[in-house]
Amino acid sequence: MNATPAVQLRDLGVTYGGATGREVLRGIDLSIAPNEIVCIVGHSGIGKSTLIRCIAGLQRPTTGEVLIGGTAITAPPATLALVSQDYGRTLMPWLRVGENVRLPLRGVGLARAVQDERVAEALSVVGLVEAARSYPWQLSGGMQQRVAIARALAYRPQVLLMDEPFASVDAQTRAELEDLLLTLQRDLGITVVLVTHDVDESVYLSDRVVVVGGRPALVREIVEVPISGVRDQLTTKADPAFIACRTQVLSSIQASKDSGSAVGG
Amino acid sequence: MLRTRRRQVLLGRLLTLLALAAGWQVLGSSPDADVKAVPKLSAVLAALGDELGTSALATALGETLTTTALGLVLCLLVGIPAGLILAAHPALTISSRFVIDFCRTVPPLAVIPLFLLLMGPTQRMAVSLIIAVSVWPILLQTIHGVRNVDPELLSTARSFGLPLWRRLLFVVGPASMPYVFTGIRISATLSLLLTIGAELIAGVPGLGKEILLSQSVPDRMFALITVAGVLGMALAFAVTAIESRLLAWHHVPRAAA
Ligand SMILES: Nc1ncnc2c1ncn2[C@@H]1O[C@H](COP(=O)(O)OP(=O)(O)OP(=O)(O)O)[C@@H](O)[C@H]1O
Ligand SMILES: [Mg+2]
Repeated sequence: MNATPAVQLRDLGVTYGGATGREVLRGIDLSIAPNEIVCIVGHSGIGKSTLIRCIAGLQRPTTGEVLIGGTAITAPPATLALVSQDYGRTLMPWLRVGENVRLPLRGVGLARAVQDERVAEALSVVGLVEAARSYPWQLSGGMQQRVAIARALAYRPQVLLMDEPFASVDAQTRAELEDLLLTLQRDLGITVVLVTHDVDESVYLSDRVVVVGGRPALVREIVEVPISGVRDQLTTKADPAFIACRTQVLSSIQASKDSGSAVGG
Repeated sequence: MLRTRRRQVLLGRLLTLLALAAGWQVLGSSPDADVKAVPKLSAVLAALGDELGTSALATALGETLTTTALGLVLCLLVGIPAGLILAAHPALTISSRFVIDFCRTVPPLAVIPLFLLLMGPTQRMAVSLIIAVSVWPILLQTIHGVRNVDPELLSTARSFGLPLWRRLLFVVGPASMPYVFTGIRISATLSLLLTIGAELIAGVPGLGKEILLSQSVPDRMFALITVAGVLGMALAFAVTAIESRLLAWHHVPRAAA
């Protein structure tokens, strides 16, 4: 932990609707190293999207601060890309798929040919080459989600934030996209923060799983995943270490629910 | 299937037109004193044929078109940026609301005498009149459009670090286009109305003035009115054509849903 963390949260808290409003997050402290993959799990409506929007600089936390690469942010940093949970609404309906993927690449000093290359590469990676000239509303939900992922990948961020990015795709595609993410993360050396509902997915992808829970939500537990080397859908998921982590995450979520209702009731 | 249907529609329209023409011709031939002022269709067509050969009609038509186009373009140049600014903050939108509502409800033709007094019967006067009256629908629709842009689209653009001017140009602009175009459609019709009105009432050179001058020659007057009608239709058609081209992304999903 001597290198500057890629992402650091210091005593982050969010209260909606002013001082008398609903406190969603409280005292979140978290430090994410460069090249690390961290998954955030927790019950629905607990504040995961709120947390990731704060990290993205789209929302000001009520208390505390977010540091990206060591500097506190007040606006979305250029080195960061977000795949939002509401992916369908993040695609510009007047732009074809290819142009949607290109949009963030325009105006950052990339030659047109380089842009073309990146767009084509990102689309082929998510298996949507044929859809490049379609409009987003001509695609299924799962395809739209992959466009949003392609757009983030083409941007080549240092920190990739993903809010339930694989929720609308079938199991097979999901597994492929998970492996793709792991490969890209290894090859490009990016930091990934990913929100998911799926405990298996969180353990499979992560170096650490962060369980948030309670009302207001706190960091309940951080589960280290001691699986080294290249992961594989079949062998990794049968690994005793994987199963142990999975059990630990599950019970932690369970416990956070009990304690949450105790606080709430 | 679609083809036969389209043919049927065309045929129906043609028949309607023919029936109307026949009715007009009969009415024009009537000896009744009350309708004596109405010339026969054949006479009007003959007058129209004569007019088409002269440069007077072309000049008048050109003047009317330039005035309308100039006015409309200036409305766009003023209305859209002003709308953008007023939409930037809810406080601005709310505080300007009253003035805009007042201005846009003033009956358009009522202000012609004022402008005539200020500027005389010139094209400049007609253009100013158009700006004063037709800018409001564009302004209002721009405000609506900008305020209705999906915040998720804006967040996306922001999260990718697009600077403000790029967000305005590439996100807010296209996203609010459907609303803005509604304003343009209204303003275009209004602009032509005002041009003809200014020509007719205030004597600004153009088609309206020619109509006024030919009051004693009903054949010619009717021919010119027909030209004005066709002009109005052509304008509406042009705006719709541009709109359906630019906003295909907006209409198609709706039609499919
Ligand atoms: N803009 C807002 N104003 C007020 N309350 C909000 C707002 N956004 C979210 N909330 C509330 O904050 C809580 C957390 O929402 P959030 O979307 O962060 O949850 P989540 O953990 O992402 O849920 P899910 O897993 O269903 O996506 C919810 O109870 C929600 O009602
Ligand atoms: Mg969420």
